[in-house]
Amino acid sequence: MYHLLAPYVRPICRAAGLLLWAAWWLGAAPAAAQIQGKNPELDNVGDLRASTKQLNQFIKRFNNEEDQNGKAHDPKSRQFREAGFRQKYLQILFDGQNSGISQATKNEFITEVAGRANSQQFLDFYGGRWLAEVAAKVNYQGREEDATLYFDLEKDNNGWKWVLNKVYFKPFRDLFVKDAAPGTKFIHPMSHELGFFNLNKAFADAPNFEEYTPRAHVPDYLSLFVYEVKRGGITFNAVAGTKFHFFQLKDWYFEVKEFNRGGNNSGWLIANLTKVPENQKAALYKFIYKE
Amino acid sequence: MQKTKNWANVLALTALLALAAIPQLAQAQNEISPERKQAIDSLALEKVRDLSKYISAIGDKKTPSAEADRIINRALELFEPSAQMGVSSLNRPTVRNYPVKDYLRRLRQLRYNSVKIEWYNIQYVSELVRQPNGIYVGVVTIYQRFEGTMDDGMKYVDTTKKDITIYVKRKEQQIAGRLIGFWDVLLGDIRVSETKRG
Repeated sequence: MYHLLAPYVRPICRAAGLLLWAAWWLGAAPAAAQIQGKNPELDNVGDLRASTKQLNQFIKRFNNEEDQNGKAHDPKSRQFREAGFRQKYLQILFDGQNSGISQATKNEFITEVAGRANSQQFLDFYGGRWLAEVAAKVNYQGREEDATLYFDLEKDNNGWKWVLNKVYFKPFRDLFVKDAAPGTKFIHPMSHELGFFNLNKAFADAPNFEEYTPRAHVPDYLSLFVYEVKRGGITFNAVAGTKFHFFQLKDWYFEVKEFNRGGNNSGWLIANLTKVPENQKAALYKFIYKE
Repeated sequence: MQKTKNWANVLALTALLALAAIPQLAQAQNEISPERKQAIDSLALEKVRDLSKYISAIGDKKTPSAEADRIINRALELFEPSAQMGVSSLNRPTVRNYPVKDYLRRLRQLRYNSVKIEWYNIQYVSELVRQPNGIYVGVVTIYQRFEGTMDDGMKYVDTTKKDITIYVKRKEQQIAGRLIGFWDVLLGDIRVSETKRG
């Protein structure tokens, strides 16, 4: 009889298990919650407990290195990085309101990352191949402009620091658009015989000076940005947002953003997930850097 | 407020001695073990609680002006000198920066009839990461409910998430002729963001 029911019983058990787990996750009050006592509202923190409060916590939850109350698992304990529980953790780390990530893609990702106990993949804060993207507001030539700043974590003197690795700044991009009609802007090929004294004509054409560089020239926008900051041409105004791009896991890329909203699916969550073969990740980096 | 100050001093000294009392291996003095991390987390949370008390007193109209000035100075002692507040709201998500001193003075100028700052019963302390200068840095996240009541009884209420930088530095102090090593905690930049709940 059991074998006839088995196809139905297993999914029901799985769903019931997930429900029980979710109820425990949202309902379990930590011991600390009992001592407040003064204002009952302050003990009503189910949503705040469920919220992934820091990127640090996102990584710990992703790897199943802490319990549902944020207490670190002992690395020697059975719970630390345990695959079964981790698969459930991973389910709640997605932006639940993003229908762009299908359940099938999530399941494939979770299976590949945490499906097998002996071949799990983990995130490593110090492991490289992840970056921070910061949307900044800066002042440039008397106007507020958007600048996208890309930071990498770099080791230095036995410590760590974020370093500015790339910049996307539209006013700089606009400076290097080569749009002159063919055959109209050039330094003629016998100029060397004149000792290049005719360069004055190119310099006088300052707005189109980029036309006198090789066709394949790629401007170094980071150096330009640093130069402008150093000479006071760009000043910082504010940060408008931050997100993180992770390339660490084999054949996967995902983006993590903060969702400031009510409910239990909030905080730092996976906002974008794509399967990308390792040999195509370089192209994805270029896309993110808007190169 | 004097009582608060004494109480804070006693707690700080107790925590300091507790940290110093943790057995240390000479070669690992600059490493942070999980046990030591727990003690550091407690000390950091204690300093954050002190700051909350100071902020309540500063914003309260009943606190005399001279006393408020003194409390601002006490509060500033919790911070490293260049610390700033980065503030955003639901209406304006862009983060604006204020030096801590300016932030506290602005708070004082609001002059609510009464200010109530309460902690939600949840907090999160990150890992500590070593900086290139050898000082460890971490972030404590807390949630607070602010309730300010004006003279006419109008109330301003919000819930904010506060991500508070903590700097953890190894120091030495001479106590009864002996050089005692301990880990000290200073607060750094604080990001304050209004938070949606429910």
